[in-house]
Amino acid sequence: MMDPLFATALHAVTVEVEGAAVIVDLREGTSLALNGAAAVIWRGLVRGRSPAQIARELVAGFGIDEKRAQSDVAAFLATLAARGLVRAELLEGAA
Amino acid sequence: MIELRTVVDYHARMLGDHARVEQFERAIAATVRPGAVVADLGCGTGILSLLCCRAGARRVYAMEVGPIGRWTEQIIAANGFSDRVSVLRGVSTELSLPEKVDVVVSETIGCAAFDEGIVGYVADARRRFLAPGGAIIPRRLALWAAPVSDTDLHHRLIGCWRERVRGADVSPMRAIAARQLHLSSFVPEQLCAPPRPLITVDLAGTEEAFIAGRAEFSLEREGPVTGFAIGFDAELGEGIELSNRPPSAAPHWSHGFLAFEEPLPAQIGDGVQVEIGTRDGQTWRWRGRVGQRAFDLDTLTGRSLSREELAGDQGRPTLGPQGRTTAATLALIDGKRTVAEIARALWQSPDTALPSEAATRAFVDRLAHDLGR
Repeated sequence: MMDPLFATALHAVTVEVEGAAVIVDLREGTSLALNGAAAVIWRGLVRGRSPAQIARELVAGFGIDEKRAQSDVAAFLATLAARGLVRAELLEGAA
Repeated sequence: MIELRTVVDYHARMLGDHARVEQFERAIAATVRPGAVVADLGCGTGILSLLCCRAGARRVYAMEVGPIGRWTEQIIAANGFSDRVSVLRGVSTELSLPEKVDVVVSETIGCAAFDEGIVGYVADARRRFLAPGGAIIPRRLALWAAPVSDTDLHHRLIGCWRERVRGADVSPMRAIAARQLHLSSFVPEQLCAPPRPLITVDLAGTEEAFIAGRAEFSLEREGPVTGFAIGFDAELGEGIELSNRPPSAAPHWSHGFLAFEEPLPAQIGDGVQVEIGTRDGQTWRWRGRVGQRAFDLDTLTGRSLSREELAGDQGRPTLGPQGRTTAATLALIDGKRTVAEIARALWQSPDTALPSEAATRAFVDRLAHDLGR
């Protein structure tokens, strides 16, 4: 078994394009541009952070309350999982 | 621009790889039946097309987009098979054939198995050219990898960018250099563990643009580990194989080398895990661990894409400064205004990106000459 550190899919590559973070889906040949909060969530996942840890980063970085941050993380994880860009079991930890 | 001597030398090396030609000859003899129709994708000099004719093919469609294609017909003619081989200049995915074929043959196998795009070419040919029940040579292609420890090689390819050149800092290129598919030829002393298979593609069936696999190694030599040597095993036909699996190499092929950004320290017995994936051999990603140290690299980042390149076919292009200037000029060319009047109107327009009235006049002159009547 590979290390569960890799929460993101192998075919999901992060690139910086003109200063903005973009996920390129090598399987589908599509890309997903990330806004500020989405970029924080994605980079957290790439670094192996848990959804709860990422939500705390959002609280610190964007001055939002914890409930809103948890909700944002869960919503974006659901988007990523629907696109096959993260392991679906991550959703369990983000509910 | 590819120099002609590079093309000529490249094909001379391929033809000089006797194992390569002999194994394909065996596979063709076992597969191509008298009267068969064959598509040869990326035919190069046409050597495989000739071997198909010798095996009894009634018709071979030999497709080549590269510069060697200029001489393929001459080589076919020199062997007396012009009446059976149709040389088509172009990439196979953009060509059409007047009939279905019984066999698709392609030696678009790269040093890293997939890096010449064989999976995409064969999948397209299978869908559009191949008759039901037809055969494909090669049948299967596997990517193998082995961890490498060679700090000199790593320095030559990546570490060197950290050094100043006559006082100049060239270090921004180091991260780019680490994110390329390099070519090298590996000997056993450079490998830290025996090679293992990561990805096996059944060319008769795969539709996936992105193919991937994973492997684990236990180091049999001390590190540091500097990356992975990669190569292929190709099954051309029943019991007929061709390989450049590192450290062995067919004479014509090198090995691929997927490096780390920095050498990663490791001891004998340490575990190495790797996942490697590629989109049609053109974009690669490799990530994993050496002991407890993680690595994660890809060649997409190494290309430093612009927004337009990233959007590709899905983008909605907009005009840049030069495009807006050209469009404004074309709108002013109405059959009534003189060149001088068009230039004056353009110079006063907010759409011009030209720096002076003189430059505007020269630009309009050139456009009217090239596109007007």
